[in-house]
Amino acid sequence: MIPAKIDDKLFLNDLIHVDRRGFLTGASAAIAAGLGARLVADHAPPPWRTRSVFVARASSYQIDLESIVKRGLAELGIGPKRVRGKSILLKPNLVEPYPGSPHINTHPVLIAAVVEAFRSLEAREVFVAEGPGHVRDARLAVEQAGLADILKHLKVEFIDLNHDDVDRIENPLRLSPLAEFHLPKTLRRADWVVSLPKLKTHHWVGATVSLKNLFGVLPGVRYGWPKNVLHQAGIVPSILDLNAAVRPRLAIVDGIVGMEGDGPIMGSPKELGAIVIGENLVAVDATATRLMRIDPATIEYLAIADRHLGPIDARRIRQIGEPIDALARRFEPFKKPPTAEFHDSPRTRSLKETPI
Amino acid sequence: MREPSNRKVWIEQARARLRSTDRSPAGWGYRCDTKVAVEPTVLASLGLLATLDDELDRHIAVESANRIASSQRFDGSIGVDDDSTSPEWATPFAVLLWTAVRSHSREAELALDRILYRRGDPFDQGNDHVVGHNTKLVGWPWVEKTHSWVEPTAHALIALAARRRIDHPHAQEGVRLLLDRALPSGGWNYGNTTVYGRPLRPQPEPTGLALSALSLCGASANSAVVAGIAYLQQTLKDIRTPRSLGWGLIGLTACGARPQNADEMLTQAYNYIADQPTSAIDLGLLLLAAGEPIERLVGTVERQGDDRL
Repeated sequence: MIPAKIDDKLFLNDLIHVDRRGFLTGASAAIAAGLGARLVADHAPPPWRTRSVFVARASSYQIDLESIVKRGLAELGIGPKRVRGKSILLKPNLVEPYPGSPHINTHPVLIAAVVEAFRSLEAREVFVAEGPGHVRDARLAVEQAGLADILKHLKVEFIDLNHDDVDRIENPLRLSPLAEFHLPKTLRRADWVVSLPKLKTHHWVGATVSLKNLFGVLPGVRYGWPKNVLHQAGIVPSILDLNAAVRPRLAIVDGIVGMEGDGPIMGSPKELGAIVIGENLVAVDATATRLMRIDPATIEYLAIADRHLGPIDARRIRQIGEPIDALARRFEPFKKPPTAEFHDSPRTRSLKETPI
Repeated sequence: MREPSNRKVWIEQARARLRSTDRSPAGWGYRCDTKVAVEPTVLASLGLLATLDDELDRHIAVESANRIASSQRFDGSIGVDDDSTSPEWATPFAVLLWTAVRSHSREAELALDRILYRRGDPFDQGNDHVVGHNTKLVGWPWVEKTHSWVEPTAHALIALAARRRIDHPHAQEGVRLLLDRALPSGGWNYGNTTVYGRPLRPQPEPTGLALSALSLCGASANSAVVAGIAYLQQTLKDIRTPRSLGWGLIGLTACGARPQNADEMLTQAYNYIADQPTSAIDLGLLLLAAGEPIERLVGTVERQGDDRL
């Protein structure tokens, strides 16, 4: 197993000067450990130093999204100097195939726009990788999300993370009982992991954005379908541990059409018309939940993340682009129905009572 | 690559591609660039056997069976690849291949004992019925010490059926679990039927697997099976990805409901991946769906006797 011993007081995403591939291979684990004391001193949290988050108005998927993404990256100081020669892994949210539902999966047009934006910044390669949480047939998920033809047209490789070889990485945060993660080897290929989620309410954890999206990097051959190991270990601590282990570099949130109510699958589409971009995923998710008119402090994993991975306090988030109030719309949160309404429907009972 | 227009041509191409990517040690990975793993090795081998017209292919399958046997642990379990002791969900796949090549009876029995021993964790929802299924029924998990789910339960039942062990109480409970996990609209998904009362959607691959398992376990007359067949017959018309189409057709065939245009569907699915890097699972499943039905391939051998080749 590869050690990743880091003081959990560290703001792990601040280890940006440690090459993430080196971190995963363990070659830089010692470097990370050696840097530990200095980084704790430099960035002793909390309070966090201010993180920048860019919010853009994007009224539909038909407009020029590539320009919006490029502008957001530029506003955040992400230009050719930082991207040139890098390998960029885009991790969209393709949890389950269901044709004709733009509110379930990250929209393919936005994924294409992000590909083109990074290519224009002279990335060495840009590829898409995902391990759908509910199905083994990743080709089906890609096809029914409308992504297959776009990837083919753009000559972008797709990698099914569910069936990847793995590296065993020590869990650096240990908020959950998981001692280690089996991370796909494909992560090693990438200099930057970019979380590209869909903005949704979520029936288990309140909201799912860029941090929760990282569940999809874990290979199903090791974690199952659904990734039940994480449920057993606790969804909330697993989200945080996994982000500390993967150390994504950037998030670009598809909030053009999101999902409200019974997310992540069965909720209703909700037009918001927003794209959110930022390098600190906690700050990005806090901003995105505010756009849903949800207080991030009420989302348990965000509240805990504020102590470990980044700020949720609006005073610690430097807002660039559109003001939140100009775009925010109330997303209907998931409401648990009375037990009598969902326990054993007549149809379910009839199936259960049918003899073999 | 030129697209093959008929069954014979694509089958030969698929077999040739599998042969050309067979590696030393014998077996296939999930991708060309990943290490050899049990599931793709078994499905590719079964695909070759299901469309067998060459002793060389039988030899390849036997070599794969031998290699998997050499990776079996003392407790009977098989990891997903050589480097893994856990999870063990690939163990039933080994049983299928050993059964199909009529070898390794002792190893298969040891594996079956392990499968019957290592099952999923039930849990008590109490009065908080968040999920709609019976959480106390026990089938098989993907990962040890987690809940039972549809696909690993189907894998285990198919292996138990192949070795004539479906009368075991655990197999019977597995059958009940699959029936319990059938979706109200017909078909199966990974294994949650409803969450907070809202029915979830079926998917072709778990539906094909569940139908295969239930048919091999003698439950094909159940209304859940009938509804699953109807779902697949409607859905597969628009599916061209090998994994979903392959298991879907295998399931329908096991239930005696193979579509008349199955060969055409398989040809289209092969064309869909013809210019893509070889995937042993995709090719194996397409061949398995095109060739000898799974119940004949793995369901006709006796349990006793080591007739290792």
